[in-house]
Amino acid sequence: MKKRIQQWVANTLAAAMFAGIVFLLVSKFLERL
Amino acid sequence: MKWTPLTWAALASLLVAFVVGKIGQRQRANGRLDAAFPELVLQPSESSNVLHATHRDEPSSRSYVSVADAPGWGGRLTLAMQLDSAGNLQHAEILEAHETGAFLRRVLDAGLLRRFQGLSVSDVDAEHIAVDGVSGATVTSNAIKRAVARSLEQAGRSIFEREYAEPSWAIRIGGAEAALIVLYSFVITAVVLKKTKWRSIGYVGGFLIIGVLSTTPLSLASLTAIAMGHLPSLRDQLFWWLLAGGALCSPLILRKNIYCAWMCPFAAIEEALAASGGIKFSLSPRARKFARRGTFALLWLSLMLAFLQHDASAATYEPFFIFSFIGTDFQWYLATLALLGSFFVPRFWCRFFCPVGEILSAIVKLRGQLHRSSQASPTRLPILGRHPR
Repeated sequence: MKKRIQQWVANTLAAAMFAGIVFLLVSKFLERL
Repeated sequence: MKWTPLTWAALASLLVAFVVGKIGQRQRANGRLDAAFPELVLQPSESSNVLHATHRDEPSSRSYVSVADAPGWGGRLTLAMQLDSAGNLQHAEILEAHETGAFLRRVLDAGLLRRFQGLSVSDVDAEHIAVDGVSGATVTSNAIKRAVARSLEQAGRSIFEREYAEPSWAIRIGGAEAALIVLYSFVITAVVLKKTKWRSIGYVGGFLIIGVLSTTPLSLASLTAIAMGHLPSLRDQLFWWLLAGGALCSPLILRKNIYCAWMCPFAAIEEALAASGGIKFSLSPRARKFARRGTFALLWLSLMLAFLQHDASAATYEPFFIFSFIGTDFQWYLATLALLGSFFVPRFWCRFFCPVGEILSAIVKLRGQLHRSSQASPTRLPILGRHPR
């Protein structure tokens, strides 16, 4: 159970990071259009 | 490194994006000069970079527009400036820049372009101009100063028949460069002697020299700039040449990525955070598999956007700006998330997101593949004097 919570925390951080980077790149591109 | 059809498709699409971006850039450049000086009618002169100009409302007025460029952080930085009939600078405009947006904004907000107003073709020599730059954005402000100096000199030569001294091409090794050479020497010695316990010394050195002293770690934007054919000036940015040269040559010569494993200042912070917390969470196996592909997807997306816009600075999404403290609000959120992640998951950024690490690792793998294929090659000639019996 403890391991699953740890994995959930790590997965959530990674997913947020990934989504944030995609948002940053796309918003920068749209800003320049 | 697996050469699957997807890898080839990714490389082919990047090549197409590069060509499309290059063509688009040429078309955009043509209209920039007219857009920068809408009130002027421009006519060519004997020098292709200095144009005669007359005001639309006063056809009898006479002025000049001089265009020059200088190597900046992510490529050539091109400026156009209007000079009056006596050779005094009236107005300067940036026509093209590939600098990181936040750095360029800092320079423009500090009013650097306004500081040149009133300077004359006689106020410059050997591509040097006595105007203070903007601290914290030294490379960008130096590129602007050099472009202004070059522009004034070419107008001075072609219109006002002045002569100028040639700039000195002597390369000066400063304190930061000397410290970086010492750090590289230490790391290479440690790698050759296999002293992995010395790694923390390398990271402390990398943090102090690359992070604090120079504030410019190796980034995707600078590697993309190389791929796009933009090389920074060796004279003005020797530190960058040493840093990138060492980082790119070590995979080829030592077959090791010494930059990430020994010197990266961001990795140093991550290691310190992991050591201070002592927490070692890991991603689920499925998420790790997805993250592996995700890193490549992010690298492809950022290169695609940079090539399409023909602008290396558009590619960057790394948190390395934290060393210079120049970043947008959203970038700060992402950097905080990266640091928070590395508190829970050791080397969170390096393992799952860093594009520089991915590129350097790919070079190590390619070099390994080449080494293996050359060893297996039946056409390999025996070394002289050591023919097999």
